[in-house]
Amino acid sequence: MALLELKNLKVYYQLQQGVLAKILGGDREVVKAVDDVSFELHEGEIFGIVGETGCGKTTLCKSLLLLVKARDGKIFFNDRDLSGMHPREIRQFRREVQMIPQDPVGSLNPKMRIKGAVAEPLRAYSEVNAVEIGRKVEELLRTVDLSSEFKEKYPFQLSGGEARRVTVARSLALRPKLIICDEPTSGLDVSISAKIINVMREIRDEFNLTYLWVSHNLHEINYVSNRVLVMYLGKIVEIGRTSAVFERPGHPYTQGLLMALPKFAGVSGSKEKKIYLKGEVPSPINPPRGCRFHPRCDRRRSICMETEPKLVEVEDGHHVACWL
Amino acid sequence: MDQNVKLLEIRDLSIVYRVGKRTGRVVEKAMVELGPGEVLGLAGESGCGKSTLAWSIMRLLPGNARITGGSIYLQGKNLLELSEKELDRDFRGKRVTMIIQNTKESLNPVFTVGTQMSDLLRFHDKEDIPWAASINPFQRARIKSARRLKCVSMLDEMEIAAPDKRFYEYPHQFSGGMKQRVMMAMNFMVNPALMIADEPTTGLDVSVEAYVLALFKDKVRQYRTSVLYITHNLRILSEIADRVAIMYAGTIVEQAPVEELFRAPLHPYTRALIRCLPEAGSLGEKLQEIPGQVPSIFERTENCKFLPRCPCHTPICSEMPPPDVRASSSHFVLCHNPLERS
Repeated sequence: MALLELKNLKVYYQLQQGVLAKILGGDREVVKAVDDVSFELHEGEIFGIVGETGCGKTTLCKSLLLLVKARDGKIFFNDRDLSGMHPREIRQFRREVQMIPQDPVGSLNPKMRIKGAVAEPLRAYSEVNAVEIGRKVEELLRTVDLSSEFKEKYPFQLSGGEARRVTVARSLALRPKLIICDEPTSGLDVSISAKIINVMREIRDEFNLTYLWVSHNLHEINYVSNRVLVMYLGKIVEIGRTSAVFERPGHPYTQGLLMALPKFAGVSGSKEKKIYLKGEVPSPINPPRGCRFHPRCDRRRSICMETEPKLVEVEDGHHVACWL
Repeated sequence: MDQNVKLLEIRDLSIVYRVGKRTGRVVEKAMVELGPGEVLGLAGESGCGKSTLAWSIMRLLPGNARITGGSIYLQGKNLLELSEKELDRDFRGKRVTMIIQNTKESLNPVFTVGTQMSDLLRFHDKEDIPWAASINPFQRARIKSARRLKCVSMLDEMEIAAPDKRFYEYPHQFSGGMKQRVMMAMNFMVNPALMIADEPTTGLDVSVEAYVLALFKDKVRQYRTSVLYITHNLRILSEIADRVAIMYAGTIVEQAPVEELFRAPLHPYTRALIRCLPEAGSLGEKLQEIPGQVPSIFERTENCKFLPRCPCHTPICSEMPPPDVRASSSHFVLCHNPLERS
């Protein structure tokens, strides 16, 4: 059974319009941040989302938590439709889905001690008394390998890796089923991100969690996730089992991304000629007609410029949106 | 490598920072050698002193820093003994240039890219023109347009589309990858003997990063520039560096040709760093993490700084500083118990 299911989700941002344009009428320009995205998330898996800056990864995460309103489409959590939910039910839903934000230091209140920050969700859902909360906070910090002396510290006293672990502890407080991790290792040194990845995998086994793991680090996604989704300008270009996508990428964009990864000279030995993705991501306000990737694609044909390709299954569970 | 052809030679360089009444050791007895046309990668975790080492070559350390010992020889001159005037005349921005970490702040937002590039050329041939005011207007116009042409051709070399138009645009009209390429253009235009690149690709997307790096590599080969490339991304180094130096808590713990270092690291720290990287096909396996933390600059001792976190320490490690072990002429490691070569 799918834990989370997205059907044709669309999230558009409207741009600010000048006074003159308002008087003259005319359509407001919209940014199609997430455009027609559908996928399923199964219980207990780690689902990776990759893509370049501005491809809609973070917007997708926020819309799952109903923090941004979807223009169209449906989100089902445990087979319940979120759009028709009563606010009280949404509150219930929010305790089952938690998010680890991208910027850990920014997400912690600088005036609040760590114990306060971690206790916040417990207090908000007021299920336990103060003594219980204190005990629970300590327990939570222990699960992420922080000693209890951290309780009395302020966010500015923490290093990047420690702050990150505090946010992990906080997201665990309400025993959620799904955690959305928005680039949990960005801005950390390799040894520290290794620590974070290990901690997160341990707690997954312990609490039986499902992760939606957003990252632009493909090595990391390849390492942690079971299935992976590749996004480009708000669209899904490829989705499938991680091993299949990384070994047999079907979309030129995925191939380009994988090609761009620096490899270990010592490990790979040969230094083959690389194909680079030329140019930059076009503006999402006026995405190219047809396949959104075609201006950068080296194998485009005339059909690519005309019609948008649909997701096609190339092998079991591996879908690619490309005409080729 | 011959003794005479070394371009940069840093010997036993030590730098301390004064913080309040305490002094912290930031760089300790660093040894770096760099030949002409060579790319040396300097890697390490944040706070290990990589950037401090780089800025010390430019002699642009912050006010509370003090160089307590050692020497920096560039083309046979000890940079630490030169006066500020001599440095400005011959070294900074001339023989040594730097691509800094933060591109957004390295270009002035209120001047066009073209102005900033030609200013650089103007600054450089100021000495050639005897007295600026004595040039007649025609001559001046000719010099100016020659400079413009040079800048445009440089932008073109950096594969910036429509360089003659881009010349008149402002930095905010450039994307991150393009700004970085402009910075590279400005650096190569001076044709320095040594270029210091301090994490030039942080904050860029993987695809853009790969592209910028490939271009950089090409140009370095073309201009035969020596580069000190600072990064914490070992994968990048394995692509572009000839030799790699690994830095930990202010000391360079291992230095070796790139392939040898990744294939057979000798220092436990280097091995730990390499093992931290998630690799494909190891799903389910636990990542190796390095226990503990980098010692703060106030807690550093003469002995091996990696000792508290080292899996293979012996009693001797806490008694005397680690010896400089030479595995081969180009591979050295600072450790009592270097790892077995596999």
